Amino acid sequence: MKKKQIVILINILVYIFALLYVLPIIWTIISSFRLEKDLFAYPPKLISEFTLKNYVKVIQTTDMLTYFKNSVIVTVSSTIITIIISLMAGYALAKIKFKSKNFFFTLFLSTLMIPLQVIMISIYFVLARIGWINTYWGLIIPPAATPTGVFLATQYIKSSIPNEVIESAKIDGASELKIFWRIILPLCQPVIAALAVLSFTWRWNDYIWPLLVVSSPKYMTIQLGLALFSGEHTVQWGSLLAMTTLSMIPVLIVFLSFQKYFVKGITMGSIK
Amino acid sequence: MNTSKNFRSEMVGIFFILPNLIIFTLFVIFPAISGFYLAFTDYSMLRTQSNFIGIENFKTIFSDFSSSSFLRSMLRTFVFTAIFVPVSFFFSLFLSVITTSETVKGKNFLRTLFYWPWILSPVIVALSWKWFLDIDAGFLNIMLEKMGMQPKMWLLEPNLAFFWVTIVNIWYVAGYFMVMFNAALTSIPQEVYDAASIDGANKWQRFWSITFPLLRPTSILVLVLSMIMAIRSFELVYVFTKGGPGNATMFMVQKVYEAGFQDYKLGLAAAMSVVMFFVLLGLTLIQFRYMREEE
Repeated sequence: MKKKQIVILINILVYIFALLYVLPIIWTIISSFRLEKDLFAYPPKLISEFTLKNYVKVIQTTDMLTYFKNSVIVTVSSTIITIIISLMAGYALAKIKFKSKNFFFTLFLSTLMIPLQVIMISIYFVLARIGWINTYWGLIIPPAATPTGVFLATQYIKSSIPNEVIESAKIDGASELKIFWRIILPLCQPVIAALAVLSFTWRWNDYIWPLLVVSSPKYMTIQLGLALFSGEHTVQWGSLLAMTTLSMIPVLIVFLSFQKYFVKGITMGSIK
Repeated sequence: MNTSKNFRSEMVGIFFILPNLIIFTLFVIFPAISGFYLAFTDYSMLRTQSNFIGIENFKTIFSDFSSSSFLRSMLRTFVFTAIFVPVSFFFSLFLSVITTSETVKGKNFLRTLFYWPWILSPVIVALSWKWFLDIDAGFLNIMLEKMGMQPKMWLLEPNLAFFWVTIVNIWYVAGYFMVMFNAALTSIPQEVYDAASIDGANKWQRFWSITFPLLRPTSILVLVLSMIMAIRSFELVYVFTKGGPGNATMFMVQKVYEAGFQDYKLGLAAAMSVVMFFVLLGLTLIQFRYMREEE
């Protein structure tokens, strides 16, 4: 009996702790549905009338929709490119015998050692030189190449696709490109899903890269828009909270639908 | 015949890696190399010409120790790292123990809950906490007020701001490390524990002689990763406190960013990046070795 009570007590404590743990985000979401005048009411109110006014206002008075659209364009196209070029490299590094293979594999992996934060100054030069500042190209293309993607694809193709399949296709006279499109890609569904989910979250949440590429509001992504909006002298919290809540939704949907891929990504020791 | 075949497969191989190769070369490898060169110039966005000035930039960096200097921000980053690394280590281990314990119900739900922050963007995390800690309408101050206490300006006092920056970063990353620990904890076969129990090992002995050693590789990886993260940390803090109040939460990366893009001293900023690169290099090499071992 006594032991059972301890178990219940422990569970209650754990759940209180868990609730407190995510409280800041919950508070943000709840607050986004409160009237702006109630947000700063004195004496403070915990409960307030439910309203969508903040959402209407943020859509009508800010460039929120443009930012959202930009984020969707950047995230989707960058993710598609990541998948294709990672699998291409993965196929070559796993199945094609060529001399410089090890050199390139090591080269690709070693780009992990050079964090963006350390090279952002000189990246800016490259971007400016090729005219990619304030363009979708600059937002989409460079982040699409990721060592983690190459690494995952190589590992998967090496271990899950038997050489015989490729050999027999070759005997039938298929070209390497055809083998890649017709055989490798369809067999790579699990790793495609994993890459899609990871890349989607990375690109949607990215802040530093767009910060380097974009200065014009026309090309701002949602994260830049949020940061910009919050940095203004008189922050309109009602709108900001609505914007924050909206920007969480895509990633939350992806996360809740594909949780296991996140866990897989982490246990492979990859980093964000 | 054979050489031409070799040449052909070489070409095919390179064709398939070409898109990644071009991007990595253009946006990682070349910038990394040219960054070293820039560090020795007086390049500035305000002028078109730049001169090679030798180690001048490094002299500037290492001679200035005012509170807004790069060296100070580096020191601040190290202090932050020294707190962040052990606390996030034990805290995530604690979360992991909770979510793998026999006693606790609904473990999957809890795992998701603790992991949730990590999938959000640093910007959202920063804004949520900023709102949570808001002087007038933040949850924390409303609660204090309801309990008859004075609300506090959490982010406007240097030490408090530093405290919250640390807390929020730990909060953000703990679920991620928790998953790593969970993977390690659940991969220990129950039989090993059973065998040890039969041999008369008590709970503590089992922990010290089985769990602890088997957790070691994961622990080291978590420590290295969290160190790298702490030293690289930028966007969360940048949106959360802008490095303030004063320079209380001004870390290295932000200093580089501001030197380059606000003061337009790109040569100097590149030199700071070089210093940062060497700080990070050793750590990343260790992480790299771990990843290869896991292959």
